[in-house]
Amino acid sequence: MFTCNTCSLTFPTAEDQRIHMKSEWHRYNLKRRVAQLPAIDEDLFNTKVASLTIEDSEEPAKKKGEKQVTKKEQRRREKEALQEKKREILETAKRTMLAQMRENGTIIPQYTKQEESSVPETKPEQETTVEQEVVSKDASVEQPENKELTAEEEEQKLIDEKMANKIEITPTTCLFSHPKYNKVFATVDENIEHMWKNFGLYIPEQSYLVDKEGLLSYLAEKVSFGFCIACNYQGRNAEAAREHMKQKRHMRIPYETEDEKLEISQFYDFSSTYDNVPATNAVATEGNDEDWEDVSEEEGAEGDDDEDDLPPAEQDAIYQNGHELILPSGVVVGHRSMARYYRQNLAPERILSEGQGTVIAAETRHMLNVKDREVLATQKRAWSREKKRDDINDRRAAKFVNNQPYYRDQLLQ
Amino acid sequence: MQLAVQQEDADILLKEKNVLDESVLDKYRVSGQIAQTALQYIISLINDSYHLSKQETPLTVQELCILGDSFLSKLLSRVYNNVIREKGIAQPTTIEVNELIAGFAPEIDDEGAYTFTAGDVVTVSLGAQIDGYTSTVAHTIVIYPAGVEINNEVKPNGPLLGSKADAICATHIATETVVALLGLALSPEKLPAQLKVNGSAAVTGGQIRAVVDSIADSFNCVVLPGSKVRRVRRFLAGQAEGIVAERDFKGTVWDESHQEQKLLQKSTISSSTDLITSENNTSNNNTGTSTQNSSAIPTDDFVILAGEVYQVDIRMASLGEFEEAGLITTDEVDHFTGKNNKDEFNCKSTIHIRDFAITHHLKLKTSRRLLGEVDKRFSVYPFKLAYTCRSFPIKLESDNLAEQIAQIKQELKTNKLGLSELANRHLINSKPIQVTKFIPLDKILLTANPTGNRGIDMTKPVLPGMEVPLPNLGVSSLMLRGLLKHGKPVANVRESSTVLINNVGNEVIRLTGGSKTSTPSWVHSQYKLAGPYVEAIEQIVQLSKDKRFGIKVKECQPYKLSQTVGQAAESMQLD
Repeated sequence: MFTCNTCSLTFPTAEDQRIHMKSEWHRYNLKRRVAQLPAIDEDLFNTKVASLTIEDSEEPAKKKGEKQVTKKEQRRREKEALQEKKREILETAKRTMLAQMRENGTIIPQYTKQEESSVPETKPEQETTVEQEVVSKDASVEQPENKELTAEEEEQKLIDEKMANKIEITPTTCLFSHPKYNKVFATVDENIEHMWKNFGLYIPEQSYLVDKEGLLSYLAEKVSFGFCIACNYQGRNAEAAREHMKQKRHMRIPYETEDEKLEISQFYDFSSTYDNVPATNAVATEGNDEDWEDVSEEEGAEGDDDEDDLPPAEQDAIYQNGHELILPSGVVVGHRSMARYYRQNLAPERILSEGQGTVIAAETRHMLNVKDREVLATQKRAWSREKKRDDINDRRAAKFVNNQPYYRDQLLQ
Repeated sequence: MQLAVQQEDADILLKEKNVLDESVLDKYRVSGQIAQTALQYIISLINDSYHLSKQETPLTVQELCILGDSFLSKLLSRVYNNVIREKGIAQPTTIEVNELIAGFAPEIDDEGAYTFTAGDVVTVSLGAQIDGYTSTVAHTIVIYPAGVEINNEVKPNGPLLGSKADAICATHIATETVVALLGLALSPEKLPAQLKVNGSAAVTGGQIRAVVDSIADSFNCVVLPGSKVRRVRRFLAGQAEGIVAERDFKGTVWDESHQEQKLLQKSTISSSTDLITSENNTSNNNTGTSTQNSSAIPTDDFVILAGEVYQVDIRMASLGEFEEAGLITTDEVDHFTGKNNKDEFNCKSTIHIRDFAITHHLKLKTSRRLLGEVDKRFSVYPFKLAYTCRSFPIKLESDNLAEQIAQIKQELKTNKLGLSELANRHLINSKPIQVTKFIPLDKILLTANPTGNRGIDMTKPVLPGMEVPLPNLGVSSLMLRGLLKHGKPVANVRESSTVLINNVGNEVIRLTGGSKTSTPSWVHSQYKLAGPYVEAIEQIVQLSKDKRFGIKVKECQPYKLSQTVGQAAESMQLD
């Protein structure tokens, strides 16, 4: 009697058993056993194999390639893909800007030429989409000529759906209450008061807020499209968003990161805080844009108009200088990791008057003692040798120090 | 070295700032005028109290010093007030009597009765600097006994005679000759044929030495150690000689070795030739080893060029009083009494100079404050403790001079404490008070000299490369100091003036000294100008007499002294 415990089979001969043991089915069951799964019978295994081979035949080359790909390689590819995507987005933004500028007639022709020569070679398909975008942005008219839906068009479609879903919320209406309660107030301030008391909506930097109504209508628009005001949750409609905000306690305006601040910055006016900051700094930071590649790319992707609206000094409230931050007040804030250097108490540098400088410049006295390193080393060796010899001498002499044959009291003689 | 100046800055400070342009000339001129006026003022004070007897008790040296310094400060406070950062007294007023040669400027709280007696030779020296452009002056006058009245003016009975008179004559002639010789740098082709070396016409250090030595010889005098004809640069006017080893030193300097050379020349002619041993000869070559930078070591082979400023500082003493051969050296006076069981002259040195190469964190608050003040106010120039007092300078016009002086005395006490710490840490160096002494040659030759020329006397400020005073005899400065117990004091005479060779205006501007302030006293010497260079000297002096002959010498005129200043000194006598 020959058995296979894994597959719970019996074989009449040893030969059969051996053949079974070599089969793929047995191997598969062994693996299942290791994974503490019940064994499957041959039919089931065969159907599984059949279904897989179909998938394989669809893209066999790809599968083969991917099998050899290591995790590291994969990650690298992902990264490359992401970068490519980013570059494309930047390219698009550039295109649109160029187009706009061309319209205005303020572009340097050389630059345009260069762009045109470089771009089409690399991605001709990209150009078509770009052109489309340009047209759509400028004229804001749909172009249904292309049969295949591009990403832009899909987006447009989504937006249209959203627009259909949109309900009007006035700035005097509570953002979070269900319409059935009909929380509509006479003024914007009352509405804010209500939302603050009932939902804890805090409006940041109220003293610099100049367009209260604008802010509220912006938030209301966001909610009406089904967006959460705090996170990027996107509900089907305004009700879904309200429900989400209530459950997650997202009834707040995020105001922490630079992007979050920029989002609502158009309703604020901080010009009173950067009155005395010179305008040259803004220019300087603009020049530095190349150093901050990632940041500028992302900004470009999100929207160019935001950047334009931003007052230039807003970015320069804090100047970076290596490991130090220089606040507008002139206070230098150092990093904690450098604490040991800030704590050290160095003597101030001596500032010489002209007379002192002249005398020091004419001084030759102290240059005399500057010695060659090798000479000094040999001298040191000689000194140590001499010292050693002296020590040996002392020890030798010490042997005979106390060899007085008879004791004589020094005091008695 | 902790402090270093960048090469470009050094070039600007040492070269560009020393180019004589209009503003530099003006600064030099003003500093010269101030020094001249102050010298005239002090001499008038001395004349008033000793010759004209305007006061009951004559002014002491302490009072003369503080009056002189106050006067200098007052004059300096009037000029260049908002234009420059640094100006001040370049050399405190020192008044040396007879054998005293340098550094004697007792503070006002000194108890000693330093007055003059008839027959004394008194050297007054001082200096002023404006933006580092320095003028120094020194002049020796004679104190005469009570004189006779001629035409309502008190005149001395007769001229000074003797060895002091010889020295005064020699020094005056030497100074005038050297000034004229310096002026010849503008037109070296007019140099007397005798002085031309190998037919090349240029004024060199060797010529100056030869001329001065021949004048001294003809008046039986020696040129004393410390005499020099040296180039002056901005902030480098020899105020820190012996402390700072100055780069590109240019000047003729006299020290004991030159007297030794002369003595040995004489002795080789007459008798023994084996005074100079071979061992000592080799040691002569080693004198410069301690200073590798040769530009700091003075040599005679330099050429005087137009556009430079020179300080002519010649000190001489007569050998007329001594029969035996010997040499004259300087001895540092200290404040320790009872050495060698002798009742010697003792005095604490009062002139200090900051050594900027040294930094040290001080413990005492007073010393820190004092150091800050010294660094800021006096910079690289010597100062006296009195300058740091708040009551300094004394207002000479006011009536309460006695009160002001009492105030200074009080403030000196607190500053003294700080000063001692500065001195102990070598942040400041005191300038020693020196006296001239004659040492007979046989005493030098007969001493045992087992250690050779190794010992260097640290209290004696010497220029680099001149550490061994008698290199041929192999006598170190420490040994020479030991021999000073055989020394006899000898009176010395000093004339110093600053001369500017203006290459732009093609003229010689004598910033200090000259006929207005440094006219020699009435003396009569038994000697006459002799020696190999007589004709050359006469020729040079002739050239400088009139600008048509050769050299145009312009002298800086002192300001007119006001009457009130004279009265101030009188009111001081009330206490």
